[in-house]
This record gives sequence, structure tokens and C-alpha cells, in this order.
Amino acid sequence: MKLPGDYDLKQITPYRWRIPRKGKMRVDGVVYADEAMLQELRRDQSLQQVVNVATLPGIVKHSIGMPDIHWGYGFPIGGVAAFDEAEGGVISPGGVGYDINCGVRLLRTDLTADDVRPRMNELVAALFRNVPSGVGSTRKDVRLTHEAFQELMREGASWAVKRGMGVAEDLDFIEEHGRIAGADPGEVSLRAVERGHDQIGTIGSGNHFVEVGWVSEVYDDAGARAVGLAPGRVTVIIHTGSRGFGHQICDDYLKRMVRAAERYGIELPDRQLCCAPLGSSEAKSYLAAMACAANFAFANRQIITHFCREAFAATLGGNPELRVVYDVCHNIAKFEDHLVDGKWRRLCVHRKGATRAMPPGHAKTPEPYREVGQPVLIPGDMGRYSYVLLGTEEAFRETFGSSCHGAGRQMSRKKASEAARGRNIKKEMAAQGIVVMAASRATLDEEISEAYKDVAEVVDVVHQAGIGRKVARLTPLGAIKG
Amino acid sequence: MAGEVHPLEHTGDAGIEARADSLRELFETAARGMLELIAETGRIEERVRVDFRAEGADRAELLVQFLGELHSLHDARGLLFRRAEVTELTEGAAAGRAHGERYDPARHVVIAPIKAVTYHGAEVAEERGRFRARVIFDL
Repeated sequence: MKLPGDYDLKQITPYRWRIPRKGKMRVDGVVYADEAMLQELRRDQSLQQVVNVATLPGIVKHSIGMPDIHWGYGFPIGGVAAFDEAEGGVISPGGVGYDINCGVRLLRTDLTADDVRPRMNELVAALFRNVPSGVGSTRKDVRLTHEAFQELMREGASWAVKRGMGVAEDLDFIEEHGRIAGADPGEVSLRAVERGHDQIGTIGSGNHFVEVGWVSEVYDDAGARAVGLAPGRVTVIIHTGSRGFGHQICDDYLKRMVRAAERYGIELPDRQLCCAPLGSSEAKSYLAAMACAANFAFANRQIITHFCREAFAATLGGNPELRVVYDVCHNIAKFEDHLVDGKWRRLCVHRKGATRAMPPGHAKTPEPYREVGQPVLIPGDMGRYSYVLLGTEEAFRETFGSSCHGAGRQMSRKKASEAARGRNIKKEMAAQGIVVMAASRATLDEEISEAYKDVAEVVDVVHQAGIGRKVARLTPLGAIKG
Repeated sequence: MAGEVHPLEHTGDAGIEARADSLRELFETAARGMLELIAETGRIEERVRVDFRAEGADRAELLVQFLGELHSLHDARGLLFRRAEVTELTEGAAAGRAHGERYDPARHVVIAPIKAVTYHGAEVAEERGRFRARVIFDL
């Protein structure tokens, strides 16, 4: 199959394609997709972005694209790349993204869809009051002193739990227990603090949301049972990240890394890929600041969990339990041990729009899930469904323990707004039995279902390719958005 | 001819292409393009004035930094800007002054909250005495 670019795409398996190493590429590109998805990918620059990442120093094995890959800036969204310090490997803030530790948390309840359906209007209104969203949103009930904010940067989710926003058990079900080590507030700019300080506990805008749904289909009984998901039970998905705090840290370090790349003689096909060798002072500073933003995001999802619990209790009474199934990052870089060509190597794995997916038995899979694998949370668009998968051995072998992260847009925001013109999206959603509230009407227009690819197709490719195992489907009942 | 600005299509995000007769006007036009993406600028009053500076090794980096600083001030301080002017422009540095007011959900309409100004495909070119810039924003 010949692409518009000057590289051939070779089919390895029905859902796995190789972009052979060529020119300045140091490794092959590998993309997970079906034929229809590939036709779509030919229209934009995402495959070229997989190729560009393959040129970075010290990249190991492959530059990888997930089935939800789409055109980003620098790194593709849905991209995974691992780097080895011993081979001149790098860290790239653009390979993590602006929204550092943007991620997804899933909560489960013992309530049934029938319990909450009659109260959905009140429940969504309570969530909307309790969890600020949209531009300029701040919360008045979580005000931080300078010292408290520094503690939050170091401690992540446990900071919130210590202050009564959550229980210790929550931390066992968060990637890295809700805290990335090595955070140093001294590496964070005053501007980042200024931007982030008042945004803690808010979801932001765009595709971020809190969604109430229910388990509408179970594909793997043992897997679903192990993670506590029973058919018909109500769930809550929280999708947000490090807000303006992370955006500013990314921005600050992109600026520094452009200079660093020049200094270390790293040739960049796109400035947004700017990076510095792992072990350099620039890399160390970025990793310490990135950890602060990641911890902010973990704390953010923890605080939002607390206020969701309050909204459920206030609306439904009887103190319903909302327990954490799992909380995963999908914009992050981390040091992990991976087996490459029979040798264990410590690698810096960048996941930009990709989710960690550790297999059964792995030490990073939470102990209660050790037999089935780490939950992988894949939100879809607001009108259809989301999925829960489990990490697999294949993912660990092939993709550095990574899987997809979502649906990916198929329409620009402008096109989506045009498609929504003259329609009342809130009413359309209500007619489907989904109650939505948004800080801005424009957000609802831009977030219409048809603006996104069908996440079921993405998840099916992941499942067929073996880099994730489909466990359950969640169908929305209501959501709040930015 | 005054500066003009057009949207660029990008599936996940948004971009602008600006054209102007001078580099200074190009920066101001690109700033207008970004501010008009963020909010309906016609509803914003000029009650607050903020000065800012940016540096860059070349014109494209300087423009990204200039817009980035303007955007960061908007998000950090909860301000909406109606316009920004260039008060100083050299090869490696630019200074600007932004005019606007505090965001008030009752009076203002936010269109697209931007996360950041990216380097991806950022470009400033000079063709037959006219200047052109392309910038992509992360939404």
C-alpha cells in the first residue's frame, strides 16, 4: 500500500502496520489500525508525525501510533515512544502534551440505572453546582495558601485525602498511587502557580467532563467482576487534567527545550518536538516540574471525586458509596522497566493520548486486579458509550504496556459547530435519555457525538490486536461539561 | 492595506493565518486573530492595560512567544482582551500592551478556550513586501 508520503506501509497483522525505517528515522513506525482508519489517516499529518518521532535520539524499538491516533502538534495524539538514556534518549515536553496528566478516573456504585434515572435532572444540576466547569472557573471552598499549594504539588491525590476529600483506599486504585515521585516546586514558574492556583477542583472546558453512566454490556465476566463492574450498575467517569497549571509548565519548558535541543545538537523535524537528553539539567528540571503538574492533576481528580460523592449523597440520600475503580493518565512520561529483545531496560515512556495498560501479574497492576490486569479507561463521546478494558501481555510486549485513550475527533470544532447550527443539542441529548449541562452552549455544539469517531471501532481494533481486552461498556445517563 | 486574518482548519485544534504590510502589524493582526478565537471581542471593554514582553531566536518563535505570553496572562489573571498592540519590536524581542477587562460570564461570550500557542507549523514569511504568519493553537 502506497501512501502519499514517500514511505511504504507494510501490513504485519490485520490490525498492525509498519512504516519501515527510512531517511532520518532511527526506528520503524508501528501503527494499530484497520484499513478504514488508515484511509482516514492518509488525509492528515498523523503518520508523518509518527515518522518525525522516530527520528528522535535514543528512541527504542518503534514509534507507535494507537488506533485513535490523530494529528497533534509535534507528537501525534495517540502516540507512544520510549527512550533509553544510555543511548542518548531524550525527554520531550511536547511528547507529554500541554495537559500534563490529563486522565480518566472511573467510580463505581451499587446503585442501578433505574435508581438514578428519575433523579437525573437533580443529580446533574448538583454535579454542575459542585464541580465548576468552563472558562475562568475557580472554586471558593478549596483555597490554598502558597505552602499548601507546594504540598499539593509534591503529594498529589494523597494531599486531598489527608484533608478529608476521599479515603485512603482511593489511593490504591490510582496509577502510581496518585503521586509521581521527584516533584520539585522550585522548578515551577510563578506564572504556572498563578495560573493553576485557583483552578484546582475544576474540570475546565473542551472535551473534559464528569459523566454518570451505567454498565450496559459486559464482555468478560471474570474481568468485570474483578474490577467491581456489574451489569446495570451506575458509574461515574471524570475526565480532566492539570488545567492551566500544566499548560503553563509545558509552555515554559518548550521554550527552554528549544534552546536545549540547539545546544545538544538535536536536529528537529518540528520545533514542537524539542527535547533534551535524559540526565541533562534541562531534562531533570522538566521531569521535576512535570511531576508537580501530574500531582496537581491527581489531586484535581481526587477533589472532584469528593464533590461528586457529596452531590450523589445530597441528591439520592442514603450515603451511596462511590468507589474508585481506577484512575489513569493519558498524557505523561515515566521511567518504567521494559523487556526489549530479551533484556530488561529502564526507559522513559512517553504516552501522549495513550493509556498505560499493564498486564496481569505486573507489580504496577493494583494488587486486587493482579489476576486480570490493569483497568484501561476509554471515554467515548457524550452521546454514545465508553469502555473499560484490561491490560494484556501483548501490550506489555509490543507497546511498552500502552493502549488507546479515546475516540478522537473526526470533525474540527468549527465543522461541528456548523453541524450543530439551528439544533438544540441539550434537547436532542435529553430525547436520548441523557441529561447534559454545560458552562457554555458552544461546548455542547462542538462536542456533538458525530464530531467524534465511534470509540467502539477504536476499542475493537485494540481488542483484536490484543493490546487491551474489552471488559465492559458504559452508557451515559447524564454529564456536565465545560 | 490593513492586516487580515483567516482561520486554518485542524481537526483537533484551531489555527490562524494572518497577513499584513509590516511585521508589527502582522503581530497585532495575529493577536487579534487569537483574541477573536477566544471570545467575542466586541463585548470586551478596555478597562485594564497589561504590558508584556517576549523573546525568540527567529520571527516564528518570537510570534509564538508573543501570542503565548498574551494568552497566558489572559488565563492566569482571568482577563479577556479586546486587542493588543506592539509597543516595541526588534529581531529578537517584542513588547506588547493588551487592553481588556476581567471576565464576566454575564456580559462576555467565550468562544474557544485555548490551552496554548504551539510551535507546530508556526511560520512567519515575507513575500514581496507583505508578511504572512501561520500559528496553531491547542484547544
